[in-house]
Amino acid sequence: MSASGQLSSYSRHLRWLSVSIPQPSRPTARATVPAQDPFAFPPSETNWHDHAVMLLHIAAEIEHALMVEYLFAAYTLGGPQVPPQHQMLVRRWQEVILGVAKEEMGHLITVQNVLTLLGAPINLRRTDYSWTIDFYPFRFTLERLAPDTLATFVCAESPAKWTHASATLIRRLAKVEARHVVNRVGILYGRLVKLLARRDLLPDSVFDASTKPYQATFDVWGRGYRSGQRGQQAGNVARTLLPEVLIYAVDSRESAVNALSEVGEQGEAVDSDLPVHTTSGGRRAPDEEDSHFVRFSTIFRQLYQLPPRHRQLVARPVGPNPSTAYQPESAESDSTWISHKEARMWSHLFNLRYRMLLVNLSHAYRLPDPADQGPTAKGSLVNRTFGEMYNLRAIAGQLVQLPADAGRRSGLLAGPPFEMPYTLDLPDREKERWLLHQDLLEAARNLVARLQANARGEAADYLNALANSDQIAGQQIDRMLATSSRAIPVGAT
Amino acid sequence: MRILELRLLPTLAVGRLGGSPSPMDNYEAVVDPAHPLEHRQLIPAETFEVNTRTGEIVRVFVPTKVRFTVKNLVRPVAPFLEVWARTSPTTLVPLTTGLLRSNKLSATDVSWRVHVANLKLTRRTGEDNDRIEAETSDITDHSRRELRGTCINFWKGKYLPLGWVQYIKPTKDFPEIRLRFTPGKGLVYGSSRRRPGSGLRRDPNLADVLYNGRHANSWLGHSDKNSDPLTTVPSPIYAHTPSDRQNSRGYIDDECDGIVEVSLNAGGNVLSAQARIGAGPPHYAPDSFPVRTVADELEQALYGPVISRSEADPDKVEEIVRRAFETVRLMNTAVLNGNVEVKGQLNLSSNMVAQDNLDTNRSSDPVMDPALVDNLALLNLHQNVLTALRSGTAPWITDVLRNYDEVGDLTDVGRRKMPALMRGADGRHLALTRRQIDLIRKVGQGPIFSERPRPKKGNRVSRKRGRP
Amino acid sequence: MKIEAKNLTAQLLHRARGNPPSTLANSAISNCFPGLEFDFRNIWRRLFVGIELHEADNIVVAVDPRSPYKSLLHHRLLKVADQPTIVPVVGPLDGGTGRAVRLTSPPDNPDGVWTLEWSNAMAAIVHKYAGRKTRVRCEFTARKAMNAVGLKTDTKRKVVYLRVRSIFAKNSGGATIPVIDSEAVLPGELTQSLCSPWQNDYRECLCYYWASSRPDYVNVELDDDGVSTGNNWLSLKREPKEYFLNAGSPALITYAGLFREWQSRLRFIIGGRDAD
Repeated sequence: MSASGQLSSYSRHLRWLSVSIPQPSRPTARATVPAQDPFAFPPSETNWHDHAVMLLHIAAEIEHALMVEYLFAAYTLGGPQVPPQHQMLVRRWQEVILGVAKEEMGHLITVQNVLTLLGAPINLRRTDYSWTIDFYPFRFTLERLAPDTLATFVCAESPAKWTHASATLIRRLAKVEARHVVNRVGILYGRLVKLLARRDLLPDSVFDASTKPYQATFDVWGRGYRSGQRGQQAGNVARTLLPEVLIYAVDSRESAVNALSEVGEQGEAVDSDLPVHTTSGGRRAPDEEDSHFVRFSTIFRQLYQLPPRHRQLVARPVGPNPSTAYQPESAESDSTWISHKEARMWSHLFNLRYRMLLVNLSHAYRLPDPADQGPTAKGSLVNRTFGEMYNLRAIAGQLVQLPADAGRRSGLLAGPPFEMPYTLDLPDREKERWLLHQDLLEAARNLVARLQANARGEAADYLNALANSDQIAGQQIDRMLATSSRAIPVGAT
Repeated sequence: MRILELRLLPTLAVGRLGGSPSPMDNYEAVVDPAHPLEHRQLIPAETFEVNTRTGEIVRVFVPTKVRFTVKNLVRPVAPFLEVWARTSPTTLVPLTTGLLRSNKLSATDVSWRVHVANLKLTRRTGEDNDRIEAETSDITDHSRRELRGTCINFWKGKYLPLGWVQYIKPTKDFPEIRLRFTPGKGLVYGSSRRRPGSGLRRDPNLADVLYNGRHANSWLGHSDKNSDPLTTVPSPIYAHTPSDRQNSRGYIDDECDGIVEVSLNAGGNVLSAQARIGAGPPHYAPDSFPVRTVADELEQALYGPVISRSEADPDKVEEIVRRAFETVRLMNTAVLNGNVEVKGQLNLSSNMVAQDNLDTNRSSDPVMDPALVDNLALLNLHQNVLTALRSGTAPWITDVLRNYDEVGDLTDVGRRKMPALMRGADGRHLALTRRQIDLIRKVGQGPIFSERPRPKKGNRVSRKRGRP
Repeated sequence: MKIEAKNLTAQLLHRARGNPPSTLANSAISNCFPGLEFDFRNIWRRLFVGIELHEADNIVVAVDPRSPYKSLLHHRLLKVADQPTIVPVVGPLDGGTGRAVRLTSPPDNPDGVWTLEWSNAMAAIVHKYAGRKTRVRCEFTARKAMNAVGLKTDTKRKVVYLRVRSIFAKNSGGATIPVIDSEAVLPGELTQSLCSPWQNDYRECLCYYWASSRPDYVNVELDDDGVSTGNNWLSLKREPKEYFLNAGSPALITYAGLFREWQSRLRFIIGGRDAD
């Protein structure tokens, strides 16, 4: 579906005082650099608190989208066509990009925490049109890793001032017009930080410290990827550094401002015109700022140093924007309908587990940390959220080895579709939320059973284990629902 | 086929104590492919019934049920040791009466010696006279020999029963050359300053009084000194008087370890081979296995800390994760995590949090966030890791593994590495062997370049998995 | 039936006919502190020819009286081939700020260091030098040191070159066979530093880190609060289901119970539950 004619519902809130006129035919050239103080006039239909919430919603969607795009690209890396001499390099790139995606997840979580602090609902949605607004650098696209995909990543994370020699090439590949490029993600966080700091616009009372038990903390969600370990090598691939997942729980204006500043900075390089670092000999300078921009630029440079015919071989031929929904073939279509039956079932399973991940995460946000610091059902939700991440990785691994179309004519492979569910709303009452988990588990059971009918080898092993795992999860939820109302934590909202 | 060399297999056999006259039957502990996250299934397997009088295997059978106790007595695990012969530069085959015959030899040309000891006393007291040793003469017949542990400091006529060995008599149906080690009954023996039988008040904990505690530096009343770096680590770890943790009650158990040697006199040319045996406590969760084992130590010592690419087998990684999961499943993780309160009770348990505080003055904080560490919640997570690994996904867990030289890192990050909440041989948080970690790392680097393997027809389960 | 003579793992883990899985080395724990079936740390005591090390510390506990290294008694081995045998201990101090600092505990450990287990610390050195003629550079403390010593640059060291013993035997052809060498480890030494009697360990040590051999938490199920509930393995009664946190609780099997009645009191756990 071409979205060029659609606009995000955020647009009118953002642009009512802007001099720029939307130009749907050239979406990427529509950058608006506000000339005046963005807080000089109150917003159109919102007050400043609500406006801040809206900006955070946008931030959440951008982080979510970037995370998914990076994951997709990383999952496509590899395949038997990778020339053996480049395999270690490609494996390292995958590790680096997955690390960046993990950090984006940290950003996403931190933004949800700030939303919670402001008394607003969390936002795990990801609209398809967010790119039509000012802050989002690119149209949401899932593409295999190739020079132009990587170029878009570099641009998305680029600093405000970026004049290095490679900038022109990268911008050209990313199909970005150099004059108009700004780091819109950076600007968004910049504006948020400024707004949250303004006591005259947002009184202290909108920062509600009592929400902290509902927020995600690093201790719970950080999984050991932590500050202090920077500089330590990641285990899987030599000379790759561990990601640094930033998750800040916030209880005040100051902590919110700090958290968003840190998150904004992890994307862009601090020194705006930092040259791309060399990794000759594999040693990074200890003081190197490992911004996403630098990490992507490094991969870009390494990719570009490969012989031209090898550059397209680093990733499997995965079709762009895989979709489970039938679409007639057309020249304009930029999505790949998964018509291969087995691949489509795996794609549905992927989408379902993606939803389960988001539902677990969202549900965990509704339950406070226990006052007595003891384990509760929240711990299971957190662990299940991580479990679904592992499932996404496993299913993506299956998908990128299956053909996209039934006749195998296109030569394209399937890929993880990351299609959003029809809703992410949770039921209002706790018991019904657990029943929703049961619904999803039942849907998974049905899909897994259909896939099991023809599965062989590792796929069969995986499906057996998944069915077993879901069965255990289902039994645990049954037990909780059956026993007593005490299973439903008091005070859960 | 000429016999060039002998080997005694397995080269290390674990016996396990038990008081039942009926030794433990054989069984398999296998993962059910349809329910790979459940406990391993224990399936009865081919078992030998030995007539201990004649030394012959009188029948081979598959029991109907796996039973670990009979009439409230634990069935001892009594391993067989098989003699194998190298008959070519590259190949070992079982030594049988047939092979002996073809070399103009017979079963009577085979002889055995067994030497086991319990040095627990002497390790503490430093007294050579406290060594308890049992050494057989050459065994060439098939009678069952008791391993009588003798000790200079035992009362006259007393010995420590350390089990039995029996050279199994080869028969037409079972022509292989083998020996069986049956460990002790798991009884506790004691010490006294008065000669047993001289009106000594009987200690109901004890099967017998063996040790003469009259002399200086005696095991009875021995005390490990806190400041002595030569004591066992940890120390003191022996039965002590109620009032004094250091003060030994002089108790002795019937555990032991030692060497079995088999020799074959081939016309003046004597070939021999050794194996190690030991007697330890029962394996109380027989469907579960430890995450780091004696086999891992020996493999690392044999092959070094680095594995070759060709050894990077994903099934081995799955087995490590499964074993971690099997261990965690039987731990009260909220308690071991150091949660301050568990279900309303103040947690003063002996766990790594307490040990870190005790040994290093580290502040006693829970290891992980207390909300996360319920046993069942952690099981969910381990199950999901195992599930994903079964898809052939490259293991991504290397980043969170504790390296061997990170055991001194008692920061929050350091203590949260895996395996967590368990103690290693150096007393700090457990690290896997370097070879295990290298395996996980190398497998983690592998699979993204492979093509989807073309499955064989009917191959519903990819590989032979789930055997320990 | 055949086994490759070179396949040492297959010989180590050979499942002789009739032997259950619990007879094999891969069923025996090796996070020995002190251990269950064996205290396997003892295999390293005679790693260096001429001296004997503590199984769990870097101190020399005995020397061969004929050896030129006999003066090393009670010195500490700090480095082998430049690999440290110790690591610094770092973390937040009790009653401190929460900031990670060097955790010293005078007088026993004034430098705040910890001796690594030999198995891992020496793995690469064993691989390179064991059983070979080449000697390896060993740095000891210059003096006897009954307490732990750190790697300070100004600490005087005594450097000697020692041969590394193979802990495995060799066949007559000189090939390594996977059985522990009879000179490296004597009968009784693999169990000498275990608890005496072994039952003692089950009560006072609460060694949960061997849970697959010696379970801790059994008959586990979800309770009304959505979290687990279950029994201590050592609980005398299984109902009502309760986990006792006090090791001295009379609800748990006593020492006397373990000495006299361990066979009927300790339950085999199958499928996480008491086997019948």
